[in-house]
Amino acid sequence: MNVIPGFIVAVLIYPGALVAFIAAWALGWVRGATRSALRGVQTPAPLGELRGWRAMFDRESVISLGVHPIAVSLATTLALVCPLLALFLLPVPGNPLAASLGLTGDLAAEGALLLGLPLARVFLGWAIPSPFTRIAADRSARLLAGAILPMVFALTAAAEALKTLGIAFLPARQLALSTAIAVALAAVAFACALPVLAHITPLHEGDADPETLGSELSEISGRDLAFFRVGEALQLVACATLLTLAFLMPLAVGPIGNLAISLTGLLKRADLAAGIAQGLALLIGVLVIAAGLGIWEGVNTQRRASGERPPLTWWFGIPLLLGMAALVAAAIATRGG
Amino acid sequence: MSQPSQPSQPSQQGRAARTESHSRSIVWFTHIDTSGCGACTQSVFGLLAPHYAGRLRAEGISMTRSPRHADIILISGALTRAARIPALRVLLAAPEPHALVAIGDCAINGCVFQGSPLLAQSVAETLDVNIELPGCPPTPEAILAAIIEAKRLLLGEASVADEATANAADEDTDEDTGEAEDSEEGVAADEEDGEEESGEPSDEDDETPADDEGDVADETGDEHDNEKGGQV
Repeated sequence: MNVIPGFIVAVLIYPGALVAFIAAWALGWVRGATRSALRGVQTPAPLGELRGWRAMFDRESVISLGVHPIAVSLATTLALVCPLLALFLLPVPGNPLAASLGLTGDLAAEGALLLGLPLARVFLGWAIPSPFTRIAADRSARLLAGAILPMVFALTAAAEALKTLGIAFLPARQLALSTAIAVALAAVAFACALPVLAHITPLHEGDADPETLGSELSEISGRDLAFFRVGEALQLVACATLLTLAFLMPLAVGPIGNLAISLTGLLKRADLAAGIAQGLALLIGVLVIAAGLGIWEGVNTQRRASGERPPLTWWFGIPLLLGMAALVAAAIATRGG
Repeated sequence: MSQPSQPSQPSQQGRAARTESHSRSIVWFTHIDTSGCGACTQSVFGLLAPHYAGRLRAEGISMTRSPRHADIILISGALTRAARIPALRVLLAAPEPHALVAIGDCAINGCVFQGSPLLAQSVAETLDVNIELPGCPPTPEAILAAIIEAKRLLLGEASVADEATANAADEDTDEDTGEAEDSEEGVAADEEDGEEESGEPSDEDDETPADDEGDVADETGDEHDNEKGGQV
């Protein structure tokens, strides 16, 4: 079958979209529960986010004068499609979409798609003639500029260390120590970019940043807002899955292999046991990452107000340094003696 | 305790089908203050205290900063001439249907500022207020009750006031429709003539935000919102 019809058929029969939305809800709840626990506030209701999405779809979509509806539609569509496409192209087991395109996952493509939602948010904030959205978009653009380089360095370092731009579900053998160090540094650098890539726009008063009066999404409502919210939830799944698949699981080949061996004794089928072990590792990885983001947000809200601290904090350059270190380590691991 | 009163139907403007949707189990409210001493504002923000977190969550109510996201708008303070147009702009920014709740005596009758030449007519007289909550200031508890009442109006459910009216009508067969006082949480409500218990839209409001929209456009000349086609 030709590539394009094959991909369309795969999209139609692939249940991944449903799985992605369920995962988005579950990871979002884990993140929110962790954040609430650290802030000492009540844990959000498990179905609260889903009800919120539904309520948003039920509201009227209103946009301000001076914004062309096509600009808003473009931004909201990008915000939903980019994370979804990033998820579709990840080579998780049973995903026929990547295979139908002849891909086994591609780090460069994933990195590009993960930038779609933050860029759409910035575009929307700048497109709306409101000082509140514009200030929020300026702020997001600065954060994004700070996150892009560590992310790119991390992906490049991982590709060099693993000698492929493809994303293997699990490497065939355990990594050498020098390679493992390079991948670990790259993983930390990529994780530093996660709060920006998987940022959830605060809409409620309790979650809102006290430093800003509005967000990029302050002037949209209804379906447009819902698309952004669902896209943000999917972005978390895409980011967490990519970090787990491309960075963390290659480092955990040994423990996953041991788990598979243990399960083989129980299940009497080596392939099934290996699949379950890898699936468990992926699940644990994404859950830990979602909880980690919640911890970061819960701790980060207790920081001092901006008037009491300098605009560039002491850790500002650390993600960049980590990315650079990962690149050097990958070069040494690949070409060193 | 202060008591919300006079629930009227939320502004509809031809959007009745959306009002009947029961997926609006979550509502967002926002607050604007047109003037005054700020006590009502403090009462509103008192709802953000952990004490109310459980009830807000149970009722599916949360506070948002943007009127674009709001289903319920709380307005407090006496309406000054300078604040009238900005207040109308906020109301225009809120998607339809939304409910407007006047918080405090200042919003209802001007309270101690009554008679000041700097005041426009009161909020209750100028805007299409659905619920009035007297008090100086009303307690957060009373404000929460008013929000819940507004949520019921938006959902198209029989509100507490409607039920009270029905009960009163049962007891007093001489009156076709009447005024009633509710016993639940001390909510007192006056049923306006022409309103239906089911929360169906009423076209009998003399002044609606749609009317005010024209005023705002006349006075500012630059403030209008575009509605995206097919999304109503």
